[in-house]
Amino acid sequence: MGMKISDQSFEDRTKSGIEDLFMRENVQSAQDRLRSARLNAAEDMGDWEEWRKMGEDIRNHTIQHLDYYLKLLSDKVSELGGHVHFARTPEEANEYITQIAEEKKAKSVVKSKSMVTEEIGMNEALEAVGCEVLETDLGEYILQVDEHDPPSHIVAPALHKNREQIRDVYQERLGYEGTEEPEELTRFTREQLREKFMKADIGITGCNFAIAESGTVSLVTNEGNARLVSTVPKTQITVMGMERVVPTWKEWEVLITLLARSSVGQKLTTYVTALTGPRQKGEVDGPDDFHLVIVDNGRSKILGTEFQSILHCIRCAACINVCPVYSHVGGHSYGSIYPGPVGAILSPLLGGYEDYKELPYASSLCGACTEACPVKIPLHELLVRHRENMVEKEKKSEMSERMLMKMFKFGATHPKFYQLGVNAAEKVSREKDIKRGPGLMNNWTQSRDFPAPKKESFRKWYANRKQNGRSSS
Amino acid sequence: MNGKIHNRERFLDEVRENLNKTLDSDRPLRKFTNPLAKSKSQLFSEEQLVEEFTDQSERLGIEWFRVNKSDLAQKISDILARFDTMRVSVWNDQETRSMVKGLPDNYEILFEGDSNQVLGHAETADFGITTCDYALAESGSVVLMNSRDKARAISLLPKRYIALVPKERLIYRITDVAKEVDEMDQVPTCINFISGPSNSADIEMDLVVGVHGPMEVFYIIVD
Repeated sequence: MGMKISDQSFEDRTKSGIEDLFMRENVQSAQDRLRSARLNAAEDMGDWEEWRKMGEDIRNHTIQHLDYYLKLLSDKVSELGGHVHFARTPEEANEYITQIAEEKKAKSVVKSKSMVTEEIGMNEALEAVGCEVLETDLGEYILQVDEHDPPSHIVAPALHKNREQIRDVYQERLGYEGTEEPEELTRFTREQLREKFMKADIGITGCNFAIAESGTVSLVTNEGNARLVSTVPKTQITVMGMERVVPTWKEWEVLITLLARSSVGQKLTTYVTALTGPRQKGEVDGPDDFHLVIVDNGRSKILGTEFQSILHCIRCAACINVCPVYSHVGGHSYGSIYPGPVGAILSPLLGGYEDYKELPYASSLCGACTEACPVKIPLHELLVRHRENMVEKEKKSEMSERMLMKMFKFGATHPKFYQLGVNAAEKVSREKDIKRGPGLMNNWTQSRDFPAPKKESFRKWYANRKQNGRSSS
Repeated sequence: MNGKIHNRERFLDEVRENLNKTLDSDRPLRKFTNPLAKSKSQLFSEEQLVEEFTDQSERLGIEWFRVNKSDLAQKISDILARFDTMRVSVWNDQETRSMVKGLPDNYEILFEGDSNQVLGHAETADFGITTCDYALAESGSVVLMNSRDKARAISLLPKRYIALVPKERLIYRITDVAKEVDEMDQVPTCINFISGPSNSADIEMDLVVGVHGPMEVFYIIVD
């Protein structure tokens, strides 16, 4: 699939998002629940702000010394008998992964949730060499069954679907005969997938955090699918974005605490699994072979820039759950597997301004995201940096906007023209707000009134004011 | 035997170049300790830890019991008898073996020490039983570190799961475990923190229990 999930224009995407009232209702109630769960979990800690500060320091330190920690991590994994592959591009990563699949003559792959494998289009690459790739996270499985409907949220990927839609998809594709009750749908999925788990040749996981010092990868789930993926198949492949590393278990513990509480408001997710190398001699289960694939795919280009702190992100989705824009347009409007505020920053960096130029503007800059972020990434400030970059360096703004700004500059720097404009504004001024503006102003007045200019300009008022310091009115 | 590392140098060169730095000759890490959590384990008495642990467990939908060691087998068999139980998969280590001694012989009790059989057994078992290395009061979790005779599958594949929690294994939070693991020479290949039955809210945020792992979890705290 890759990161890009739609060929439609931004306007078409947001329009269909806004018009999908059903989806918006789902999204808004999910946001409400996740937001209050997070706030409770944060309050329960008592000193949440200090935990956030600690999280920020840890992420900052690790990314500053990323080369050191990646070297340490790969040395440790290798010492334990695991193989490490550094991949700069999706092609390099996929080539390595498909090569393993071919060596193992693998027919079936079970996979737990991983954003980076979506980003590099790994499933398609494996399918091209004849492997069946099965998503095992319930939400991802539903989307996969529905002809690869793209995810709309990084923690709850099928958030945009309701139970009836899911039942219909299951009926059509899997011959499901039950009701739309989530419990029944889930039980059915369990049975379908359990059989596949037991027969799978390869298990592929993402990675929430890798611990450099011990060569560990850790995974959080509530369903237990990542545990199955890393327990049953003989070969395990873990794919991680290169920034997903921490120095030791002591830092790991802080980030796990921040992640569980910020994403779903749990003290710990139901399963937190830390895997250190392949099965050792004498152990009765676990994979014989372990491969770690560390992916760059545009991340190193972010290092050393004003956007470096976006690599601190721990993918909790707290920013998405508080975003008023996301709440109105839904995840698909962003056109990327990374939606919401984090997506509006990350997608243009990884995918370029050409495809994602609208996203930094799809924000009211209210700052709710920045306030929610457990590792204190200044999200709304980074959105402004994007806007600056596009306008000043890349000249990516609309032609009409550039013309307008030129006209404004001319008017504002030539006193005669400026005065002309002010006088004109006074003439058209009415007591009431403007409800239907002409031309460009129409975009604004479609959704709200425009405040009318004052009858009297400041200069006139100043000239006419009484000299004793009191105002004339 | 060491595993292979592919394409590392040019990858890390690029990282260094963009970070505008040279290779760290020393470990860059300042000694990190979490100042916010360190004292909590010491502040709680053993009884307070039990209280917090059972409180949290209830919130997670875990049924818990507290028994003396002499009554443990009876308590386990009471739980097994409530369901249509036939097969029980159990950790094969000394401690767990001794703790489940005395179970009635109408169940098929399988101690999982054979890699060829463990998955098949656990998959068809009605119950899995393990002890735990730690239990966390703050989050109602049990911490399982696998090794030779402590298979990963026992707490995962069976329909229901019983964790035996020796009271002295209770500590306050994950911080304390992280500290211990950091000091280990050899980190266990798999450490699981388990907090309740497998669940999902992926369909309309409606919480459903029993997705891929056990559908019910029981804790027996052993004094």
